[in-house]
Amino acid sequence: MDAKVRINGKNAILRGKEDERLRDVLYREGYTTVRDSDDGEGFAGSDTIILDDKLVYSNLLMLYQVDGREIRTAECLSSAGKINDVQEAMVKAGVVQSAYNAPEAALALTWLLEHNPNPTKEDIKNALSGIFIRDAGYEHYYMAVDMVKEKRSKGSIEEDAAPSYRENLMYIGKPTGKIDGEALVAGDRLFVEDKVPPHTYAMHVLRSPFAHAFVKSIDTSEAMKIEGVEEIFTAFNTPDIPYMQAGQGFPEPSPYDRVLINKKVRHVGDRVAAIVAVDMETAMKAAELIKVEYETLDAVFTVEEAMADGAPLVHNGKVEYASGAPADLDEYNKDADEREEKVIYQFPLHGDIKKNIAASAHGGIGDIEKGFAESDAIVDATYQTSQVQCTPLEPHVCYAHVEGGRLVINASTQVPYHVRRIVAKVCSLPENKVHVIKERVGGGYGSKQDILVEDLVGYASWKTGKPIYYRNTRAEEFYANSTRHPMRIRVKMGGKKDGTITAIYMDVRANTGPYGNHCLTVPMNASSKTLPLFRVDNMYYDLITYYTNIPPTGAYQGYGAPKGFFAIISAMGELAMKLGLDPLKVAEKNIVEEGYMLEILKGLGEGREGAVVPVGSCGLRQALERGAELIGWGKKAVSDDPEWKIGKGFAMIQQGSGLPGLDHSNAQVKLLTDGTILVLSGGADLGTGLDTISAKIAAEILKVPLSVVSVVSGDTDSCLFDTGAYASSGTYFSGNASLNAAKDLLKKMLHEASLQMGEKEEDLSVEYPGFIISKSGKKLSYFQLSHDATAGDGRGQLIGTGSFTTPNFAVPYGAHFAEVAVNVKTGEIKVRKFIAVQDAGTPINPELALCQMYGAAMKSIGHTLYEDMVLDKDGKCLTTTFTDYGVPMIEEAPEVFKAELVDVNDQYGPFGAKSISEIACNGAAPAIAMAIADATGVWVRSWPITGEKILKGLGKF
Amino acid sequence: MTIYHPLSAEEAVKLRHDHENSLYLAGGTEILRLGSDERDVDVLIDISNLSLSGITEKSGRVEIGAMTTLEEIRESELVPQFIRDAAAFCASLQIRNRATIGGNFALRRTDSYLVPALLAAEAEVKLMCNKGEKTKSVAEYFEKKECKGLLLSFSIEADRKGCVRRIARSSHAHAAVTGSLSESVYAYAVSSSGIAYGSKDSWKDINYVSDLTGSAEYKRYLASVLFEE
Repeated sequence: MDAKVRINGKNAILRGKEDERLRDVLYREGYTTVRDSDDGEGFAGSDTIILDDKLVYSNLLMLYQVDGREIRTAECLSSAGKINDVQEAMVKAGVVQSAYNAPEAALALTWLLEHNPNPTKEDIKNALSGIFIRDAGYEHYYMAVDMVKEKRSKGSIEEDAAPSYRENLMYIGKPTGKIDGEALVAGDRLFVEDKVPPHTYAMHVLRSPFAHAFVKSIDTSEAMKIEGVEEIFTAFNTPDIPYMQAGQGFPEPSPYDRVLINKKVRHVGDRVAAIVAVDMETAMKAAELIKVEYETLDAVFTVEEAMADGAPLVHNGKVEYASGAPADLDEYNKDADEREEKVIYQFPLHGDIKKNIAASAHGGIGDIEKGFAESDAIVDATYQTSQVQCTPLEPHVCYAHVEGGRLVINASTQVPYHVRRIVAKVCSLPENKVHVIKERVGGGYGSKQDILVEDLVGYASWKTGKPIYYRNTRAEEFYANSTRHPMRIRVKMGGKKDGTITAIYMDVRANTGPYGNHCLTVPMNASSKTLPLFRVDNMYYDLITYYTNIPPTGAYQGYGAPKGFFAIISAMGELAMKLGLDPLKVAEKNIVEEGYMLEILKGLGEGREGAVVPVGSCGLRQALERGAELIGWGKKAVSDDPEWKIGKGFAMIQQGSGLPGLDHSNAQVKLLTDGTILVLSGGADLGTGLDTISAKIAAEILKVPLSVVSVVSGDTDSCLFDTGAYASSGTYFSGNASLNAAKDLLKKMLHEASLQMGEKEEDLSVEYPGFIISKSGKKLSYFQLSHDATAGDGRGQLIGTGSFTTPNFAVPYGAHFAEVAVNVKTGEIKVRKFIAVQDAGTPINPELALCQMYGAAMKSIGHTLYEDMVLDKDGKCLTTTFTDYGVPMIEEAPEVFKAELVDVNDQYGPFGAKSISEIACNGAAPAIAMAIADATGVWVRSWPITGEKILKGLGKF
Repeated sequence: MTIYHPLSAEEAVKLRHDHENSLYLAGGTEILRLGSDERDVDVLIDISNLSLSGITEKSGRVEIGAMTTLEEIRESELVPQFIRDAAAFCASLQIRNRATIGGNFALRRTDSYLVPALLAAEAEVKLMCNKGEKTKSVAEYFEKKECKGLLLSFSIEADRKGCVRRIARSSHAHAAVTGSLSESVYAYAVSSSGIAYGSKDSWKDINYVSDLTGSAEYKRYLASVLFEE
């Protein structure tokens, strides 16, 4: 049908089927700001439009319903390339980050301000009530509205979104806005889905209905007869090349325990067949005609089931080692099942697949038995974390095509170079035949560190020669993707009456699910990111990671640290309670400080011996003190309503800044012929502002306006190698590579200038906005410098190259505090206050840093109180929509929410910077658990902390 | 899928009876939503041309058209406050701008936003059936398991007082228990378990079932204390 509408002030005709979803029609007709995050659930709000002056979800409307009506999409907010004042304020406030929903949030706030120029906090909450924001939290949206009001009344915005740091620097530490913020909030065509041309083939993946089974046979003959079906890939026509999907530095601390499509399925949702067809409808029709014969097997879902005697084995193939094979390997492999995929360790991870063990580790310092003997009280408790999912608004997507004999992949990834390496391996191609272009990432949070779709789409495109676009459904994001490893952590902690902790023991049992992605690294983080906070002489940990048949796990912001902190800080709180001490005093008595030698690191090296180093820059004590002040620690809050009890809790936290000794970043900075600057960074900006960091660093070193610096990043053809954006490595590693490249360019520019100007290099310096000046008073513009260098008789273009590797750690610290109210009759829980104080070194983008703290804290409030993947007895995920799974929306944000940075300058980070966002996932769970215990006396030791568990603890039913 | 666009309530009701697997399409937030039980319908009867929306007050009663949206109810000063509060249980403005009182009521969901409030309010509902227009109490409506009639409007005493409670893990999550109390009439909706109304003890009539919102024991306990002094 032709629906006659008025869109964004102009008459238009929308063509499509009568019952077609309006969202799909609008996107197809070029209104690309109207996106889809929830497959039409009516939840996330990426499909928000204004229909006859009301905000609605376009996914919940059919085309015919808008005939004759007036529509506004987010495209209406900007004209002639200029964004409106709401969008401008959002960029300034720092909320435009991965930005998949940013145009819709701008639309909602613009609508609000049209109807109510002076909205209250409740009005803003209402306007944003149907828009899910995962990256930046909601707090600075209130600030953005204040900024618009200020600009409209006073003509300008006086208040910055964050404090400034480092007076001597021009851009570093200043809230300048993200360099791609305007394009993102305007809804420019920056995401993978926007790059897919018409007539691209679709791919649908047929998935296993069983948690554990052999695929005995597959008959695709009927499906292949359907017109439009190009190819169907199964375990029987794809290569038997073992690999794994975790995007980690090679050689990886994860076993190669899968092939592209396995003959044995190991979870409900595992790949069985991939159908490539002219469109999705045809592919799905074909899937229905595929006949699969399974031999079902008993399954295991928990670590308890996996470790039981005689438990079904998730992997029972032949085990190999790329290095360090044990002498008795042949004997070990004697009973291996030939039908199963191999398990290849790059180096020993101390796994034992005959006991469902994917990896194990242990280590410590001192004598813990002696430590416990010296204690006056001991807590010995077990904490359980749940399976939660990253839920990026943009699901996993991939567009692949073959061009000029090369495979080109447009990816939404945190690790473009690992994508290239792994796809090349799966396709048996050399890396020069694979080109990966990282597009803007509509949310990653760790799940896009894993190569979960690019392997299959890349292979299918290479084999068929067809352009293929694939996108996970929201349900597949839950059951066929990556999630947090559920963990059972026992902590035994002993302490003296004066609050001295004498010994800590951690027993970490992690559930890696069907494959071993990050099976050592993530669980290791439960200990390696927690124990080094404690100045305790006797500490020991045991770690065992088990294979099971739950949906796959992998990386999620924080890795294992949020789980480790939940356990260890809860145990510290329980110990303090037992000793009758203030837990904050216990913390302050036992925390490390700058210079303290971290002997514990020796045993925390993730598969190899770790380096013992002293604590570097450390704002931990300041963070604890400031957080305590802001939350009013020690002052008991009492509710007027006796049913509501109020309590307070806190957690001290740390993370890392990349992986010293493992991570590696490279960058180039080019002086273009007109004297402007292009940074080519291997780093993958996933919305966090890494490109802005590279641009600021180049502008700062070269003394040019930020506007003359552009950044291209994460394109494997244009840019140099980088291990990727994970483990909080972006600022420290990729930023330092950009810094080294800018310094290298500066050196080359001064050398060239000395030749052009006839001056000694040591007499030259650079001056804003882009001049070389000499002591003798001569001045040469960058334009002239570059022009002459690239002239017919010039000495060549000036290009700086920088790489960065390091043995040095730049560890961020922090403390999060929560004030929680619990209704002891109904179990309702309200987070009244949440205070996040962190030491990020020099915050290069301070407004983005604060928003990332809000966003990460919201995610962790989510997994603490609401989010939960629930499986049925057969391993089928029951929570495959946002509503059932339970992500927090603006209504769940704490009533008082404050993120603050303590000013610390790090000696190794670029301009003193450390990482910011990942650490902010670590505090909420232990802080909220402690606050609930303070309020009710009940320690809830498992995620999610629900009203039901509290009421049970109170003996109400 | 076939979509009909009747121009009268009578025509709509006839279509509903003529087509076995058919539904009235009100706001569409349930029928069109991912995960809905109603998605596999063959015939949709679009009732948007029947002028069924609007809120009016007459002779001490408020009449709310069946196609009135939850947001219109939330904003209306004519509607008793506890009914407005119940409409606000739907946490998303975009949904409230489309979802209707008739749709929410007719779905009989056990995590319904409005059903307990309307039951406790002793609201009346006007319907078009194949035998013509009828008015009955919402309680009577619920006595029959299914009704193919078309909801036209709801009527509530304008000065009716009451309160509503909703216990859910988060604002957008399905409610474990929703309840309402209005002038000694109690009503309870318990997720996956059922709807009960009448005396304070009517929660005992529900067969409690565990689901994603919580265990049967938890929900039974919640219902028992929801309106405890």
